[in-house]
Amino acid sequence: MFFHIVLERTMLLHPRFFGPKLRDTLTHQLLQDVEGRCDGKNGFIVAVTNVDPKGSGEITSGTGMVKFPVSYNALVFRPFKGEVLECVVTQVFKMGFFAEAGPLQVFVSNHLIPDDLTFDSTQEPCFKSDTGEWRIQKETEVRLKIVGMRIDATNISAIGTIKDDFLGEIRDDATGT
Amino acid sequence: MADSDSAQPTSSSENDSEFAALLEAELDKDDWGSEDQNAAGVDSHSHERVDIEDVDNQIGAQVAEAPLIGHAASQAVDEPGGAEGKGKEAGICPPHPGYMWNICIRCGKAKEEDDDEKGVALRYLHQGLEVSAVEADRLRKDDLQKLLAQKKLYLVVDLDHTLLNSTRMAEVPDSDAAYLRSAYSPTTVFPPAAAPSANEDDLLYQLPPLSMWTKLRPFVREFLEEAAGLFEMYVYTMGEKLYAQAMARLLDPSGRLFGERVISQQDSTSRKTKDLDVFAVLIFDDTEAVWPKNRANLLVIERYHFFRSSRRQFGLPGESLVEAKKDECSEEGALRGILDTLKTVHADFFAPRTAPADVRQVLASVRRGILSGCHVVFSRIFPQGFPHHESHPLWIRATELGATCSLNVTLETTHVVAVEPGTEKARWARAEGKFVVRPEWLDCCQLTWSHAREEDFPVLPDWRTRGAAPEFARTVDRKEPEPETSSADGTDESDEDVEVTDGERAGPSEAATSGGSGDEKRERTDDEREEGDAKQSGDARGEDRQQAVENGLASVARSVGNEESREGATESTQRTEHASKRQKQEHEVDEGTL
Repeated sequence: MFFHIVLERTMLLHPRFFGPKLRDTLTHQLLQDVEGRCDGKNGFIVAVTNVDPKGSGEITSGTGMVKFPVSYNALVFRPFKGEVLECVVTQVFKMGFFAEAGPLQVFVSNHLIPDDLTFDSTQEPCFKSDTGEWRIQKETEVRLKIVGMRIDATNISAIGTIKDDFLGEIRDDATGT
Repeated sequence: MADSDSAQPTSSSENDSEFAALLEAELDKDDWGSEDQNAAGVDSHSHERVDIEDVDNQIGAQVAEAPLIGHAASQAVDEPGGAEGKGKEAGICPPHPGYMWNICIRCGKAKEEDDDEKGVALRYLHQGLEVSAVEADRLRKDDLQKLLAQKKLYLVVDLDHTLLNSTRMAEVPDSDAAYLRSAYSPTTVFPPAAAPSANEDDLLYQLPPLSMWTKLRPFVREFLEEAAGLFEMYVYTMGEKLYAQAMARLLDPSGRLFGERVISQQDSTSRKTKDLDVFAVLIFDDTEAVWPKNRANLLVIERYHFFRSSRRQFGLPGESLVEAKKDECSEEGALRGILDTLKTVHADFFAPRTAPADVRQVLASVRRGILSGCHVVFSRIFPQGFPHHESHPLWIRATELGATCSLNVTLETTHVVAVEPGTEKARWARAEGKFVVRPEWLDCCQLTWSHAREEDFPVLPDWRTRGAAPEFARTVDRKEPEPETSSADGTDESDEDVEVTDGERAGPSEAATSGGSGDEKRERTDDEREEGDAKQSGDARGEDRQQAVENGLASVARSVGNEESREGATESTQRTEHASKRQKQEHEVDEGTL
């Protein structure tokens, strides 16, 4: 799920950046630091929309670096258990497949793939139905539901299922498996 | 447990139902606690179940190496057998079937801290993947079922010295590097393009990222291509993961043959020996010792020593292929022979039969066919009255190859394996026109999977001291396009475009071409003196030899056709030259043995 939230961060800036472009430098460095990162609490920071330095900086004694408290608005992607996501399949092997929803990597094991889809590696590895109507292989778009997550300090990965109504391969003309 | 009806719905032909029967029997096994065994099924398959139990025990033994499996097995009673599709329906966690990133792959719960059950880590599939022993077992059975339905078997191949030979750049002397650059056109592109380019025909690669030279064994591409149709291939190597994957890319740029099935040292459950988590059926390796439990599944191939350092590593004397400026022959090299054997085993395995086939038995019977009809007697191999002659390695080897061994010569004896030319049995054999061969003849038969030519293994008085370790594969010369040396040696060697290296080691041809030791020279003059007499000896053995010479010539001529003659000599002249030389060699051999 996506959220637009306000976050805070203390930036450390080298004295050489002091000058008329201080604010720009601060913004630039913040984007560098946080965009694309993930923290366990808020999820993946997708984009910073607004940067708002709060008050003046404080020079740390000894190093000369300056601490700026900054608050910023950010668009974050935080997956939840039970959430339904649309993903692109990246790798298929006999144990299941990996899919990505943006920065989130999801593994769908063959326990959580409907029984009528079987693994086939004669050509491109895929899970397909006997009739060949359904076929999940690399680059296929799938709709899946998250059943469990592992949340680390710097990463989130998830286990998903497509064994439920309206989950599975996404097609323009179909409503799901 | 699946009943037989649900296990066989897809069987359409006779064969399919046999596989289903095999699987059913295998799944019937109550290793993992299936309660309602189909008694009738057990009875009807009691015969083949003996074999299958062996297999299962073997799997059990392998699995048992991973610690704490007992724990898993005790939990597994409510896990249904995997006969029906994936058997997922009744799956309720716990027990968790496996973990990815330490969360259960079925229910998504985090792995508990106190859950110290060590599953089978499938790191070659994905870094964080780990499955329980029960799940691994289920996967194994599923895989086997699918594979047999496709009429495929498993083939586990080794990389180093089997399919290729690599060396560090630092271990290639400048002279060798110069030779390699001029005689071959090494490919430096890495990763290789999906389709091998024209100059990759040379199969020599220089890999700066790994600082390696790698030479693929001749015929390897054709070998893999054909084997892929019959087998699901796994690469299993003691090398580093990075290296293994790079080599797999070289062998299979498209990723179609191996896919993710590359298992390297880090992925192996044990460091010292290779052990399989998958129930692999045929194994193709150069080292027997690393497969202590799977000897019966193993095809051993002669080691491929292309680079100088490779021979040294094994402490072998003699020249590597680079030093000798040779390479294995593509059409008749070691891989060619193994491929034929693999095809035979595959065809045999899937041939219609009453009982389900066991690949180990098939392999053993193919092996027994190699020397069937031969009656072998050993001379000076073990002391007379040696009580345990049946357990002597050579005795075992000859028996495995299908030969009948006996302690004393009989009328049926066809071969005398001897280490000295002057023993009583050897003399008898020569008088009776039987073959007298060195023990390496058996090694050669075993490694090349063919009845080796006895002529290549004559017992000469000083064969032990002649140095080089055996090389059985047929080789071809691979010289620089513009040879710098124009000495007499060089021109002489050009006649010998193709030869069996072991034959060369035996002496005569080497003596004839490059001078050799004084001893050999003496032999040669002796031989020339007696040549006339020898030519006229028209006994059976002489005819045999003549036949062999002609056979040899045929193959020589074939290969000569591929090689460009530097001397500009026509093929027919060469052939004549070969003919006379070969004859001379054969007579020398006679002389030597007498």
